Amino acid sequence: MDVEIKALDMRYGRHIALRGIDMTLSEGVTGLLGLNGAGKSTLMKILATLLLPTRGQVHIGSWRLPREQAQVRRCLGYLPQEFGLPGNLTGREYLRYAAIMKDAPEREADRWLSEVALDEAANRRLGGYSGGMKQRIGIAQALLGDPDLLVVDEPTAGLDPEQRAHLRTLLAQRRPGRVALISTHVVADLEQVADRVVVLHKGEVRFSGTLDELAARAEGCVWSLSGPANAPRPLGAQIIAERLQEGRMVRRLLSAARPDPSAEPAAPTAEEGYLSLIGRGGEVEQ
Amino acid sequence: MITKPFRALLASELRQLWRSLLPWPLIVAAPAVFILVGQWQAPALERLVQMQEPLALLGLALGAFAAWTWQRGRRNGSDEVLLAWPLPSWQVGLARTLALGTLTLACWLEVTLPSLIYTMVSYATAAQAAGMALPWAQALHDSGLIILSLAASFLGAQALGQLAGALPGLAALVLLILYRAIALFVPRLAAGILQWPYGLLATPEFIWGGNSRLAAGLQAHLYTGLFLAQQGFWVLGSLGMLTLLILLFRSRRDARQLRGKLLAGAALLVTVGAAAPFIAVEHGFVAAQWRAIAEYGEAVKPSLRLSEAPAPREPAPSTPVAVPVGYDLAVDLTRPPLAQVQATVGLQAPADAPLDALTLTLRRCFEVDAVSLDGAAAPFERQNDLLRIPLPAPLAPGQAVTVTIAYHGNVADWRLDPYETPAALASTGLVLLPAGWGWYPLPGEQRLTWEIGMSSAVFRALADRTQPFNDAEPLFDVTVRAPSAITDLTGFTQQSGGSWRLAAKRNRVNLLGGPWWKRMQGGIEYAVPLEELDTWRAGSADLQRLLAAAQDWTGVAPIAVVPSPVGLATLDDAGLLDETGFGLIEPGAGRDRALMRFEQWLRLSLSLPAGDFSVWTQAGYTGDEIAALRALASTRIVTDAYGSDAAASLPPAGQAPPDTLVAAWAARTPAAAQKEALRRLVHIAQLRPLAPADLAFLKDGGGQP
Repeated sequence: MDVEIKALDMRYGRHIALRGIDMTLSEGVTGLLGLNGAGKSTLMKILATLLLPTRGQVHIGSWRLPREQAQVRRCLGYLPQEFGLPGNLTGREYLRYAAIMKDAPEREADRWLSEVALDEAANRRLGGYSGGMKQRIGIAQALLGDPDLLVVDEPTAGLDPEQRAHLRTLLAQRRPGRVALISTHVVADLEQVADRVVVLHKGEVRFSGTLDELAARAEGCVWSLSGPANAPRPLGAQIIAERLQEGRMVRRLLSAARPDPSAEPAAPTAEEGYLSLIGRGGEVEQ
Repeated sequence: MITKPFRALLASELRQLWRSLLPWPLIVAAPAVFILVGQWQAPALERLVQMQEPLALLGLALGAFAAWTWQRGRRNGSDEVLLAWPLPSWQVGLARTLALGTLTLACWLEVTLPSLIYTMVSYATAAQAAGMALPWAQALHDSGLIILSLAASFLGAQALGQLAGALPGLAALVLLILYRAIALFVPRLAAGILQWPYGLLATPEFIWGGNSRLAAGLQAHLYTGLFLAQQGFWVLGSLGMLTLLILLFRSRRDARQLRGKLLAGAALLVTVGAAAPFIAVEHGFVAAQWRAIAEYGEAVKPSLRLSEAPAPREPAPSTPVAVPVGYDLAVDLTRPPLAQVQATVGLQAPADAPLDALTLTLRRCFEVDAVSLDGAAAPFERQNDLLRIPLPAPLAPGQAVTVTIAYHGNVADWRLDPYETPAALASTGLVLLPAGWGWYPLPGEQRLTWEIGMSSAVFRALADRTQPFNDAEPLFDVTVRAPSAITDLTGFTQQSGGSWRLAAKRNRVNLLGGPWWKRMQGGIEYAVPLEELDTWRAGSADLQRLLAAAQDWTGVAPIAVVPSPVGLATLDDAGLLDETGFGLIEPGAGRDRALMRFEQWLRLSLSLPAGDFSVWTQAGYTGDEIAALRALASTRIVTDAYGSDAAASLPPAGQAPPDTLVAAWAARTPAAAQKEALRRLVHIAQLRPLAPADLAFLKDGGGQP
């Protein structure tokens, strides 16, 4: 199943949230990167049938939005960035409720309680769950029923490293033919699971391709600079990382030109490719 | 529609509602408010008035709670997950509405069940005390009809108001959609406005239409002021709730900010504030009802004239009116609301003018089947309420003729404008045919209704209560065949075949019958409907003392206490208070509430066969010796019944102006002699209009009347 988005516009009054989005999501996991306000959540809500676009077409498999909204919802798993849970239901009740809604066997609910390590808290009311537990129950309801299209917005927020790793495993275990769109600020989360990456900036697609291709966007722009501990920061370069190592300051820099005669070129990562796209202060470097 | 997902959705909504703390204050408050404010223990139909304000408050609280519930899912983000699940949005709205409806239903049961149980127990125990074997099941059934009708009438009215509110609400909804360009929440908003789906279950007119007595008794809330107030309340309430929803449906960020909270709070306050005047109007209307009841009568009641007979209606000079000599009426009411009548009327040409045609007044709903004059078929003309019968040969002055008229008609079709309140009806359980309504032929051209100017628009069309026969008292021989459920036809005696008969000289004949329980106590005859037959009321010592004192001072026996057929307000409308000779009991300060409550919960009308003489003082009476005597009699009666303190506190408005002649007579005459004089006077008034000579006793050495 593929998801095709053509010439998609979304406006909130005078504010343009999405402009001319053309995108195809195919089998596997697609990461969605962008700054706050880039339009990621709006795009995900449109795919989750919660918003009607101002203009454009969205095809999900053979279904077209918003005309065939009901059919799309049957094959959809959705986790919003900020979501609430009915605090007076227990975890088990809520997932069973979700299972019935998604026409999945109710035993699936119990299986997913185990998957997200909430067996022991299954009979507690959701209102008493911690933030991480709520995030996990949210992930469970989204993955429940093994939906053809999974749309998750910042799924790793509030999870500890172990839970983040487990989430990546769960996503990797999805059956072939399924499509997932994951929005995140953490590029490292995508490096483990994403087949492709889309970068949104100010409502427009700035990049679409593999993580290697994203990294390649920073080719020749990443430098490693080692100097005295009190060496001043080089001007005109974006510092990606800096640390004191054996009394010397080691910096990793992003700059179109060699920032210092002693700087050595370094192999770029996907995150550096992303940073090179959005530039300092969010300005895209051309 | 009842699919497994929908059931799960509904179950989830129910769990969320009932596991939260918020419904419980309402659950606790509903009966508390109802018991403390609503006077649920008030008997029978009086609860209709008593329930209005607490139920309006309850409705407001439920509406606010519904609005809060609707926006809660949106604000905390749980709806965002829910609405991405494969379930139509309208089902989400429906499930939430149904869940909220259980709260409405719970509150509704809380406020009706105590009334139901109380009515059932008092009804059954009173009947048993009266020696009637009334099964509990029957008591439950009858009480249930009353209470459920009342409760349904309120919910029905509120549902109507909600629908009315939905119209402007929908317009606002369109604006909202344009503003937000989000269609997702439309069904939820629409359903939010209609928070009272259960109110659509019934209105009394719809469900209890077959029970005209109950349905008619429930008409009070349809009075214009009250009805409009309720509708206005709900329209504004709905709009307020809609505003609240719109504000709270804005982004969560806004709702969390102080500005959003202030706006939401302001919307709630505006809603409550906007509703307050309407609640005040309702309250004022109820108070006005009481006042109207208290004041009613004087403006229209024919006042006693000492020196002249009540003014006859002047017939047109060219159409002399025949004088009735006797009526022989055979009335068949066994197929209600159809009435079939055979009237044989003896008519006499006036002594001073020949008659070439008979002009009679007969309610226009009656279709005349045949007319005969002295046994020979005769042609006739019918125009509106008039029946004109040309005579083959003119009647010489004083000459008599016997006219026989067969007619039939639906007597349930005369209703008071504009509320469709039946003022005359015939049903299986009730017969109400006032003489002034024109159910038998009245000589001449009579006006069957009249317009009356009162502050309340309710009282517009009334039965004409002037004397149709210029005080003539022809002999009536009336036979009525009534439905078997009629256990009493006031003034009639039951014959061996089950029919009812009245043979007496009368100025008018009213048919007033129902399934009433009847008993004599002293000189007082009670006819009480079963649903009002609890010992607290029928055995009221206060009422009995008052009536006994009245009897003692007037010599009138028996005094009949009969229930009004369709509620006091309706009875008022129909002018039957006076038709039955009933004058309102004058309330005394400190006791007025109790006295007025007598009227309300007994819905009694006193049938005083006392001619023109009423022992009761009337507010605003212009006054003369008779008025002074009436005031004196009232004072004596109240003194005997309640003591001198109560009599002293009779309000000035009810007192006749001081009359030196009467005052001097009362001062020098012993109480026993006063009583004797008043009894004689009443007796004379029953026989003929009083004349100045009848008051000669007031002068020093005048003796007794």
